[in-house]
Amino acid sequence: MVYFIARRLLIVALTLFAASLIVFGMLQVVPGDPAQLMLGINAADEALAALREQLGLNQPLIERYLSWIGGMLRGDFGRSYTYGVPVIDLVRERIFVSAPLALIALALSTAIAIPVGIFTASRRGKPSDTVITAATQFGIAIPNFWFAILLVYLFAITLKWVPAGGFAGWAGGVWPALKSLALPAIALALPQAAILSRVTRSALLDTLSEDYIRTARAKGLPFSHVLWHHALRNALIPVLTILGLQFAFLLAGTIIIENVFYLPGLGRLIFQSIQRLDLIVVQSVVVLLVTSVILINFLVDIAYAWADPRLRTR
Amino acid sequence: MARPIEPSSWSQAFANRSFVWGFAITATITAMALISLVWTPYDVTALNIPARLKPVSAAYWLGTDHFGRDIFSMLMVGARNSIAVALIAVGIGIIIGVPLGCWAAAKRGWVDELLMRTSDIIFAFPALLSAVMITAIFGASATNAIIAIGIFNIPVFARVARGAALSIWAREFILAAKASGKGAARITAEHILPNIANVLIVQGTIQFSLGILAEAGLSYVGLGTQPPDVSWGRMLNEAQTMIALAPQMAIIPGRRSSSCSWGSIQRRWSARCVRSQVAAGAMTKTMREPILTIDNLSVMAGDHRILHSINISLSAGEIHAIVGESGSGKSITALSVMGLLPPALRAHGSINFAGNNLVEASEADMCALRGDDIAMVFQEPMTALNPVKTIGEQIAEGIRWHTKVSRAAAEDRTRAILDRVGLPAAKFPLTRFPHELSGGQRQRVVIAIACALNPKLLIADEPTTALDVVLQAQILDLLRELVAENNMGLILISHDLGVVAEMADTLTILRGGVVQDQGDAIEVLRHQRHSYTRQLAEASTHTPAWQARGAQASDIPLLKVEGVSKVYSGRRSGLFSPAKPFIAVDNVSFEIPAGRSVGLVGQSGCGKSTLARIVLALDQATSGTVEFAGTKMSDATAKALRAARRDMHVVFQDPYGSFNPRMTVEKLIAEPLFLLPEKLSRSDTRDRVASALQEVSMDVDAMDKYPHEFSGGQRQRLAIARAIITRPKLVVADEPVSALDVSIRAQILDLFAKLNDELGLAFLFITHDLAVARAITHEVMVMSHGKIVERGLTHDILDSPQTDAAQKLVKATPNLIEAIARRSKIEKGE
Repeated sequence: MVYFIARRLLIVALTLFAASLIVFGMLQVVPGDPAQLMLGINAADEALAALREQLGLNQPLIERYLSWIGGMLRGDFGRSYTYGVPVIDLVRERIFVSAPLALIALALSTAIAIPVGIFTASRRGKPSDTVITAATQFGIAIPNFWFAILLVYLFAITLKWVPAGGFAGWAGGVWPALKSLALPAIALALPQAAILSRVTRSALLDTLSEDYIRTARAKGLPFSHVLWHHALRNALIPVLTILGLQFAFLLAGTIIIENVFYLPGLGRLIFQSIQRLDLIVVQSVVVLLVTSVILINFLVDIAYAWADPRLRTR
Repeated sequence: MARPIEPSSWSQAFANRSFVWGFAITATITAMALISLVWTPYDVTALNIPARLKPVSAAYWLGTDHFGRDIFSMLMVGARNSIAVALIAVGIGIIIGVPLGCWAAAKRGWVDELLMRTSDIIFAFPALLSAVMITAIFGASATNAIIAIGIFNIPVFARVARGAALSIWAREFILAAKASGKGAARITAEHILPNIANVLIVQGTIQFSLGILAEAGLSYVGLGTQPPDVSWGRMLNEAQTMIALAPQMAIIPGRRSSSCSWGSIQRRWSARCVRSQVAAGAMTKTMREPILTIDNLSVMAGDHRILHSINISLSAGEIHAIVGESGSGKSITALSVMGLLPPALRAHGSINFAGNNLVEASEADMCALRGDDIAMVFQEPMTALNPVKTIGEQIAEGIRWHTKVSRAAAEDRTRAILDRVGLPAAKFPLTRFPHELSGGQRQRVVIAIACALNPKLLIADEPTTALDVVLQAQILDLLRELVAENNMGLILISHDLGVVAEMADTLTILRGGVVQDQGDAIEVLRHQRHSYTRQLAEASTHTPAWQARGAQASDIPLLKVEGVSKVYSGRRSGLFSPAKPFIAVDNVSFEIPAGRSVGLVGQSGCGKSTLARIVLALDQATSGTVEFAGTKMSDATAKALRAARRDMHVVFQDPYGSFNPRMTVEKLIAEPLFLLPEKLSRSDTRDRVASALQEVSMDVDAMDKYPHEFSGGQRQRLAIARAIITRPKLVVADEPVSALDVSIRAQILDLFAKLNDELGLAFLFITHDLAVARAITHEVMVMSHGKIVERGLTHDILDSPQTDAAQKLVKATPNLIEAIARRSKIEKGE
């Protein structure tokens, strides 16, 4: 197990390194002069020179990468060109919107999907299974931002239960903040829950046809006990895979959802920075998001090993 | 025997209602997109301010937007753009990703590692985020959106293609193609791609759906399709600002974009087609105090009767064998007693056990009996145990469930029963997982689970069929001891009359769900009054009428193996402990003269199959040389290697796995003709295939069929036809009859004998079954732990084995005639 974790950690480190190279490289392949791109064609020469200096464009490539990555490791993400403040300050504010949003959505989709998956699998072919399975089919195909628009139309504009957009802020208490996160979280979570419940259902059905399920039944265990104690843990492996992938989806989904709801989160920050061509912010936030995806996948790998003893020796 | 059902066809797919729906929706939307190329109700580029924000009406089917454009027309044009983006993006993924994936699967090693790690890195970038980044840096446009989405399809298709291709590479028909001298590129084109195509199509539809959603997302945030062009995502973007004014604008394209993806997703789910095959079955007789009485038991599959009024009775301490070939109803009988019949089957009649009629018992009553008074052992020990639970948990579970004792007490009992089945706690602690045990050890665990609560009745369904003869003898001994100790009744299901003759007190012979013969086991087997009993007995002791000319074959070696070893690098056990190498074949040397049939026998895991692959040049030896007809295989030129391959071929054990399911029999059998120096015309090829088919006594019209249309025995004939089509001098056969029923097996053995007589073929027969070796070989070599420990004429070795390994094999092999003779004597008290 120690060997397994050590090996995984090594892979995490290598992946992070490669990912940082890619993000860094993207900026280098920008057609033309990045400073020119950021400031526009009419920029003054002094401004261009100053930005080049700030971006370190006058230094050799390797030095530039090292000072960038070194800064990131010390928590110095550079200074935003358009906001005129350190990037870390921008991130610090917004992460308290995006992280709760992604985590609530992930928790919500798991809390809905797994019971639904178990329920439909144990009732395979019965009317309740058919109806729910058809509903999840629909859920898979819905773009989450369209679903978000529908939610806004129904709950914010027609029923006026929740605000249509914006974020109340944590300073005003937990409840108003959660209320403004409710619709975005649901919009993110439900389509993911549809996918996850289908995966849970089919993984469980596959597992239920295995020989060892028959062995367990031959011990005299009733079906429900066999389902919970033998089938579920074996079915978890594909479910965990999808859960790991979904986290990446959720992060990307926040970019759009935060725009639909005008939430001041990382997704909106990255989107606005792209529009203003503030590549320093873009680069830092992308690295941050990628790092969190890699770390979540590391946790999923560890969870695999917990779920399946055969993987521990590899 | 479960038979894999091969390709699912369009007609099957259309039988699925959800598929028809999805297909209809997708087709409608595609048609709409195509029609928009030539006609739309209104021009979507012209502004018509007086008509802005009109509601749904006859003139504007779905209303108009804030520029007065007709929403239905925009939807048609938007469909075109959205579909085009998604389609091209999928195309990019397939064209670049699939070849990469196939390459990695064929090449393995560093190529594979590089592909996997690179795709790991790309997967770390959430696809939409990266697309946003790419379009931001390179400019927002539909083209950049396509490229951005397409790039992230590449690793997806590469990974899927690699995974699917790896599982195909592991199939036996790939080995057969390699033995026909085909290279990795050709095998990929002919065998791998056709077999992974359906996986790729399914993935393609998924990625297409995701592509539409991604395009919608990008255009929605203004980074995809640019105005004045129209796409669904663009429409949603413009609509949002208007939502309070004109909700119809937002809701309609959203629903479209969802139902289009819906269509493709339904296709994915309906692509799976599962069928189960059901066997058929029967039984009669009474002795002492019966613990189990099966009375007039029939089993129906709908209106079809698969078990016909059988009667069986079993007393405590008695062993009753149920014998029959595949599909005879043996397992159905067992599952009826357990109350575990598949839901589609219904039992009628009565099964009386301890005062209960099990046919009518409730599920709760059956749960109370199962695992406590009635228990069962299954055929396949490798899959019968839950891989994520320790053996201790799995045994203790049943004990705790039925007796409600404490965990500690249950664990004590578990240790005791493990010790009893030959897995002492000192060496096999309760914390072991199934994958840490061998097949024989796992079967002992399954028996421990069944016998943990001293059941009155144990049902063992082919408990030793998946094990080699030495392990079989050990497991049978264990079962016999447990029966005697606990005065348990045992129903032993088997296809092997030798095993039955050694074990059974009473016997039922089934065929097609009908009892053929029944009674005292030795009586039935000795007198063989029923014609089917006779037929089975003859088949299982069958020796081909064989001139065995090869016995006096020339002394010039056809195959010369010298000092061959194969060492695998082992798995690391810890962070710092070095990997221990595993020696599969250890310095083996032998020769086979032309026309001689040589057996290679040994327990499973002794290195037989590895050695066979090295002989066939399908695997590289770590050291040593293989010389075939004067050619040194390891350093032969490509041309010489082709010539050598032409003269030897291979027949595998599994008649289901050794054919590419997507090729006709003609193509399959003609595959080795690839090795001929000249290319044959189509009619010459057909002639050669026809004569090969005749040689194995198959109809010539088999040529145009697919392998799944044939039974196991017929397929094994086809495999032999493929092996002999180039007129080889040597055929290597790896357990060629062990998956076949006894009567079929006798026919295949006859065929091998005939080929040796008529064509002068030399054989290398790999088997763990000495009865096969006795029937069809001149000489045998006994292999143990990677070494050949004994070699000699077949009857010499089988009659007086010298080494330990050979003695163990001979002693363990069940022998029908000897067993009958021995047990008859015991009964007479001699």
